[in-house]
Amino acid sequence: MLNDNDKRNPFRVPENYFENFNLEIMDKLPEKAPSVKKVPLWRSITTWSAAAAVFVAVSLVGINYLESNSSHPTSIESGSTTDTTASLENDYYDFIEEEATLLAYKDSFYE
Amino acid sequence: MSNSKFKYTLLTLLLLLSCNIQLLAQKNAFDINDFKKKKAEFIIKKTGLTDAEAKAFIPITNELMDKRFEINREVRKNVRELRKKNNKTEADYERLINESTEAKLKEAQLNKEYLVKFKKVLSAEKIYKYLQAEEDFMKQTLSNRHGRK
Repeated sequence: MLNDNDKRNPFRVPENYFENFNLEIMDKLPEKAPSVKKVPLWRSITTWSAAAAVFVAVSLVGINYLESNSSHPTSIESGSTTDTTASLENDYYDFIEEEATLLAYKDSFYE
Repeated sequence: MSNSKFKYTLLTLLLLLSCNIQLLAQKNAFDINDFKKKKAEFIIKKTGLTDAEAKAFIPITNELMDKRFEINREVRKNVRELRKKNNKTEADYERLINESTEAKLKEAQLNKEYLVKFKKVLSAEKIYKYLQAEEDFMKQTLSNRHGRK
């Protein structure tokens, strides 16, 4: 039986296994991980602080512009002050302003 | 930029904006008590009131100002409402003119009533100086407010 020289190899390899080996392995490899470009830390900090500064500057300019156009001290924050408090202060201011304007007007008689 | 980073920046910017608005609100809010305090200081200085006189007199002046304010406030409220109204009737106009005249009359009567109270505390000369000082202060407040803009 040992001499039974059966040349047939019991182990089989798929056709062209070794030829295609390299190609198939390369296909199965995960794509190269996208490299995260690391920006130097200081650069991102400066960029964001610059952006914040510009934003603050623009909003201040805008708010000052709005402020100069209004003649009433209106309370913008709506959180803490109740409507009546803000209205009382506004009314008081209006009262003062009205009196002062009348006085200035009367003054003009004597100029 | 990742989503969380974006939210974080947006939040920071909103925070900054709210800070600005807070500053603006503080800067602009009219403080009645502060106003009264400054007025008292001004009057005491200009009229040359002694401490005792100031202690007796200033509360009376504040009382008078508050009462004048109340009269004024009522009228202003009605006038504001009527002004907003689009089709004013003859009755509305009449109400407007009557109320403002009535208010002036009431105010004059209040002034007269308080003059009697003033005389109990101050000499006529000082009352006169006080009235001048009050006028000056009002005008000064107005020009300060406008000057800041």
